[in-house]
Amino acid sequence: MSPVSARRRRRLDRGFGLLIRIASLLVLLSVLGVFAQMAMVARPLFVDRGLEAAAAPSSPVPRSYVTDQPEWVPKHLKTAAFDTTARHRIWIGLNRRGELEGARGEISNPSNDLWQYQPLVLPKISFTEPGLHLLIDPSWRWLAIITQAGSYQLLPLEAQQAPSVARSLPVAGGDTQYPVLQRGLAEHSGLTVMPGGRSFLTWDTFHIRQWHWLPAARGEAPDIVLLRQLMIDSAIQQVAPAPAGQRVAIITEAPMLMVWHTTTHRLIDARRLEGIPRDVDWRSENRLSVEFAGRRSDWQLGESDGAVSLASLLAPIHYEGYSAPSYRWLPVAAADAEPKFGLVPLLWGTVKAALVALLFAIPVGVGAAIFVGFFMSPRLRDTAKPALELLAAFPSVVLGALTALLVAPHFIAWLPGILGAAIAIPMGVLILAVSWRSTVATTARRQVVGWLPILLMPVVVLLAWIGFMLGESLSAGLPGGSLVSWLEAQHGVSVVHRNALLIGLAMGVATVPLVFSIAEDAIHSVPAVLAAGSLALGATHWQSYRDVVLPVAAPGIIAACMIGFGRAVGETMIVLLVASNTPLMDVNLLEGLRSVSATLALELSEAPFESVHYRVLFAAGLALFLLTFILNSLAEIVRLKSRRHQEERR
Amino acid sequence: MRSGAVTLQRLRSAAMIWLTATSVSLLALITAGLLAVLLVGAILWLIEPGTGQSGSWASLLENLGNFFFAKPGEGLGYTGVLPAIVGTSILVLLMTAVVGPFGVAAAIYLSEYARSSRYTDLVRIAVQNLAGVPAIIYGVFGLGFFVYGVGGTLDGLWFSESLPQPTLGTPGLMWAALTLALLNLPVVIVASLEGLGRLPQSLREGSYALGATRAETILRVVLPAAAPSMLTGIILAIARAAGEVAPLMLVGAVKYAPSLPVSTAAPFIHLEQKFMHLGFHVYDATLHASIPEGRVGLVSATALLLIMVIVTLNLIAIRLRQKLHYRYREERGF
Repeated sequence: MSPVSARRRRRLDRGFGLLIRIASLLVLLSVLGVFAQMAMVARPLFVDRGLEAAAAPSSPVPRSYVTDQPEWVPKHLKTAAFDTTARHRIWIGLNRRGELEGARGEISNPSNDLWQYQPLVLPKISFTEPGLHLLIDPSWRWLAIITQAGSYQLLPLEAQQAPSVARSLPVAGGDTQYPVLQRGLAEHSGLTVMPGGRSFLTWDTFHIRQWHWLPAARGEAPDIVLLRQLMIDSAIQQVAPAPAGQRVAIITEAPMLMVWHTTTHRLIDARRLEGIPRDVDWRSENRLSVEFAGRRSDWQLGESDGAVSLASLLAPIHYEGYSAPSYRWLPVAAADAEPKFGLVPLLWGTVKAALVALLFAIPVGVGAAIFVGFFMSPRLRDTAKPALELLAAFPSVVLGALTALLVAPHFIAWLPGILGAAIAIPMGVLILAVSWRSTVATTARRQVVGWLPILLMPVVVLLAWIGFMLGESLSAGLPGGSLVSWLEAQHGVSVVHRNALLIGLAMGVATVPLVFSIAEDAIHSVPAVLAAGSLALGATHWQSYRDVVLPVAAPGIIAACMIGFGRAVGETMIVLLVASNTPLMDVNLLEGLRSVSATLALELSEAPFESVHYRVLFAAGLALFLLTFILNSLAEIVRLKSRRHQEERR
Repeated sequence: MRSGAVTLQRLRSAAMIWLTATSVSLLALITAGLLAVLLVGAILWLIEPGTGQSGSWASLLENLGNFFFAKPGEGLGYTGVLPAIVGTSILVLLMTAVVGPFGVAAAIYLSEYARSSRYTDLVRIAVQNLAGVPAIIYGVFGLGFFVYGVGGTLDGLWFSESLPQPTLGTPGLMWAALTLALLNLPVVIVASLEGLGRLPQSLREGSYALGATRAETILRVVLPAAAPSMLTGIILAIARAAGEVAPLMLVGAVKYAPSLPVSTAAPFIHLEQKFMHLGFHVYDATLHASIPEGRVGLVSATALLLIMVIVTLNLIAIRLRQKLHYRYREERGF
């Protein structure tokens, strides 16, 4: 061979090797990249950027329609309430005689100044105490007049008379949850309303307290209740809430600038200021400026700083307007309410549906695997296995579509029948087995046994029909006329058409092929010699299976269950199509649910890029990814160990 | 041996046999039932599509034609599935162009180049795991990295005049193909590794003994021999691409795309366009089809088409795999 050609071949070899190495490195990187990218998107949720000094904005600050006061509004009337679009406003104030005056305004386009103005009908009461604050409740029906001492009066906004409901802000006793506002507060005390109007802040020297309105029954006055409080070690001078609510800037005497996130109750950052601050103002949702004697300094916050913490995602949080801490997922809440990022309802829905799916998939899948792997002759198995794996070819979209269109509308009506059939089939088969045992158990010819499933098919259909009828007649006999109305009336169980049971069943049908396939592989790979030896010594099939085959195949069966669980947890289309998609936290199987994967599919395309909602969704996806990855790794390790164990035995 | 104990054991054994046989029957019944529902639903609908016209066997062909080729605005209440078929095909082609070379290359590296060690074991476990990661996660990654990340950056570089209207920084055909390629990478790698592992070492040794380099051995001996396995992997990937809807909801599939992603105008394949997909069509028809009486039938017909495609692909893949097992089962005696 000529040396030129040998060199060329060597070059080709090296080049090819390089190409292969680069390609596989890219594959490895992309695999890690999925995890890395999702982690990087979720990271700013938990790692705050904090306050960073920023340059003064070059472009003029956009006009804030909310704080603007039209010139024709009398000076003593201040903005007391406004909606999100700044199109509706209420002004309230005390005139020179100390009487209440107010007006409602409506504007079609905030950029021009064409207001429709209408004075409010208020009771003719005059107040002489200084330092009163006037607040409107979130439903715009009540007016609260709050004194510096801490007592307040509630007046309905549109009444001629003055049926006042005088109530005091709670007084402290031994109950530290309700501290008292001191009489004769220091001059630095103040009150400011949080944007959205659902809560307001009061502060004295060392405390800031957030109070919120709790709606009462129709016609009754709402309650004002302490939501949370923050203690600071240096005297508070000024408190300013951010435009979208939730974050509060605090200037203290030290002099320090602090930012507090109310919902997650975290101090995002604190910075020492140089000089004596005069005023703090939010330029935008993430930008602060502090005014000093002759200059101004600007500060920038990260967009998702403090918005979410591990506690706020996983623990119950006390949200504005609710009477107790709760788990909630409402990332885009209506009417200025704060976004709620509680992942627990979603995780709960996911696990609930997956468990119901496994409840169906494991008995049926492992049972079928035992039969096909243990009882069938190799020839029969070669035809049976592909036939059963035909179910695996059904994409979950199709299963979900059929369930949603054909079963969901009738599920409540069919529920007693389905339960009846589910009980009748195994019981009927057991009875048949016991009465026919002489034919099958003692002879157990493999060929005959192999045909048993086909012979059983019409039997199963018959049993299902009998069970369905029995279930329906039993349910008709219950007080209330049907199972569902009995449950709803007697036990207070709420039942919905698109409930967890239905979703779980559909998911179970989707998961069965996977569980069957893996379990069957495990059972079939047990050497036939073992079972044959046991049978030859006189043990029955059940004894051989339980004592000889099962211990060897157990790791594979466990792996099948784990992988099946992983699949059920990640199932998206069935939940999207069949579920009512309400994020509920309920043990009730007959209520709706929403899963993590369905939430990702529905909300991610709408979430603004790099917003808190976007990042929280990525964090949820990361959690799902890690869960399935860990499950699958464990299953794989279990399988590898059992395979090595088997090889050692040989 | 007491006869009572024996009888109990025998009863238990009989019960076990019958109950497990019932599981098999149940599975077979469910599969047959689903297929039957789809078939009956599709055929009944093709006879009478619920669009107001009275049906007969004669109109079956006409409705079949409408099912494939109907355009919006024809007053039928649904559009034909041909754009969905075209969209799915183009998507699958693009995906195969990416996942084929990379998957096979990774499998070749693991099988031929890397020394068998703890590290390669870990890589194999990792790859197998990724096959079990929910498809929606790949969609999430695709949206964040491909659409907003790569697409957004490219928009800033090449299409900055049309910002803030996105050109590439929005879901589209290319990003969907890349996302599905990532999704199916484990499938292709595992199938290729399986094929490469079944090849007897004597094959490679013979080639080396005759003086071939490693590249030549791989290109001329190993690859052709393992090709059926690799093909199996690709076919399974295609079947999965046709059926997985969840990731596509985020990266490019839409209910209705006004134009096909292929056209006679340059550049012939429009990678930035949104496209229609058969699986997504089933999803959308279930939720939003505008023919209330015919909805079940329309969904059945579309689903039946989808399943026929997937089952055909799976059958081809199974056949290929069986051929390869058979071929190398005999040679293992060496």
